[in-house]
Amino acid sequence: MGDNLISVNNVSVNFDYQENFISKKQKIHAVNNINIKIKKGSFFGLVGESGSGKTTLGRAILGANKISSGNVIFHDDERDYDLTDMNKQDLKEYRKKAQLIFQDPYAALSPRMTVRDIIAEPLEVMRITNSRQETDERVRDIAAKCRLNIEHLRRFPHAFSGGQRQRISIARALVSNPKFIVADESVAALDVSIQADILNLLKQLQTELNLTYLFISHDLSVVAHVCDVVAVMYLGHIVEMGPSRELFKNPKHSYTKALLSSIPSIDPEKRSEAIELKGEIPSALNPPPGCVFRTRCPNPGVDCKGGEIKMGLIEVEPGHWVDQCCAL
Amino acid sequence: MSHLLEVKNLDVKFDTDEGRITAVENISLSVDQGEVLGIVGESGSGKSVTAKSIMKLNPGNTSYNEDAEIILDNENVLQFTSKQDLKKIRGGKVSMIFQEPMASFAPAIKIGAQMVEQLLIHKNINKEEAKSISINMLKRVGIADAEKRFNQYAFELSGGMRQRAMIAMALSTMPKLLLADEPTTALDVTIQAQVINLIKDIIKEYQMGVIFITHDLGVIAQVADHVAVMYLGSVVEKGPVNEILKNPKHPYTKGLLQALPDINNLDAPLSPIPGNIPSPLDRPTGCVFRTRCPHHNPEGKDGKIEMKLIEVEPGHWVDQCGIKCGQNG
Repeated sequence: MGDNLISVNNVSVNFDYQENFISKKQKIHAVNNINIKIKKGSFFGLVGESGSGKTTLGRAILGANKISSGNVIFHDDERDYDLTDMNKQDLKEYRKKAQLIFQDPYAALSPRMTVRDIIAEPLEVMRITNSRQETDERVRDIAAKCRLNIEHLRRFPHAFSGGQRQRISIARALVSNPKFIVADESVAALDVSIQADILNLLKQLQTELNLTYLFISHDLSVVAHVCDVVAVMYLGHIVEMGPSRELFKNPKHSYTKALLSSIPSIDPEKRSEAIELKGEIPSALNPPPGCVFRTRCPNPGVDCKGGEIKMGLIEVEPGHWVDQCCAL
Repeated sequence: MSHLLEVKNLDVKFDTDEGRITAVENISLSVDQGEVLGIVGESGSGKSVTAKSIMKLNPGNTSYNEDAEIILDNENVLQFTSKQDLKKIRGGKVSMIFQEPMASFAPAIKIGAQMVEQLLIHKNINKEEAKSISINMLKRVGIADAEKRFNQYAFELSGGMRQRAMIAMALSTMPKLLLADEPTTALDVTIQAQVINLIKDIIKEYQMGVIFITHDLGVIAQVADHVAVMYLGSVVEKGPVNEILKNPKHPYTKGLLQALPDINNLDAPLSPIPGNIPSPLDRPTGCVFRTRCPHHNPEGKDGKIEMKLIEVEPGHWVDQCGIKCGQNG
């Protein structure tokens, strides 16, 4: 599996759901039969609306959600980790190598810890460093890489702006020297100018530290700018996947097309070109049979209306995969 | 013809433990009937404070300057003090839509009851009439099963539907001016497109004036007729939407546009505006943007040029320091 870092094979994540204690137990199909391969050193984007299962998939890859079926393999230099079959020792090792950056930098940092302690905590918890001096060195090193000043380390998070806090979160995620980072909506809460700054920082750190990202976002223009490969999710399924330029220039699935057209254009003369999708994403408790998008599809075919075409990706161009319902 | 809303020389200051903070300085704006004025700027630029001043919703430690005027429908809102007068503007002549609809509805009261309550306060009608107006309004904003939703709580609705219900509630009293404070920021793009189209339809239908606050220049391009760009409490540039977005003059407006990822031009690098927005406690003297400005205008550097908007094209106003910056680079 030479150049892949992560292989996700037929992964599904279900949650049990019971409305009240006498009603029947149901299953929420949050993520269905996902296959993705994340290349080493790539910036893999995952887009979709709220409720499409992006975060659940990201967490499953980190081992933070239970995988109901299928498996996730992390290809490290010396050995492979199978996430569905891991003992405690392996999980500890894996946690050093795969880290998460959260969306809200205001909620992610403890208000009672200094920035130094926040960044140092993973090192202490994972027992990576042996002395306080060594810890301090690593903290200072990573803080400098994330463009934080040394004097910032003594302060508490409340003294910082959103962009600076996000840099602290990034430093904390990177201090254990991970290889794989899941960035879950990491720029969604920031102003455009700061967003640009953080995106540039993530890109720069990627080359400096040899990182691989899974970048989860609902903002297509951000994803188009930073990611090499993009997967579009809808109701727990990947409906389209491909190299980002190809995918955004030549979208095949009607959901991708609608998403792209919904981005408000910066040109005031180009108004109302959005392909308006009716209604909202259906509940994952009872997804429509067949193509999950057909209840909102602006141009449904004859077959998919009956829900007869099953979900499944087919390759239309090298590396560009589209759900068969829309590809046909 | 006089404007529906005219804000003249407004300063808003807050008295805090750390001292007096200038949140908004010397702002003049106007909105006509059926017109959408977009206000853009980063967090902390004073967009929401400006909008809240129009309804006098700012907290108790707020002070306004003596010569400021907010003329709404020929009355100066700033001179309103009695409850009776304030009631006329809050929810009567002016309605507001907020960013987070979940936080704006009371969680333990049914949506219908909340809609009826405000109608009873502002209109001289009975409960039955209020109910039918509310249900019609819910239908108008595209909520299916309006009768059923009327009897539900806010948590039972999805995000997009809550925002529609919020809009229905804001519009049911037929306000003359609608203040929309980041109404689409929390929504997915497909739902955002739906809500933007809805707001545009409704403005056309009811001919109300709208102030649309957002940090998203794309949304501004889609809805606004005029735009005011705010930075640290001051308007640095304002004018017709086409002019501002296609022919920006102020370095801050240019910076915002360059920081925006454009899906049609993936090769363009993302260039952030250097530095951070200063704390309002140490607001720079002179041009407020000078601490982050690329300084194409050397005179602006030491803060000796005062903030003053100058008309560069008909209707297109730019801060005088910014004009020179724009010319030089």
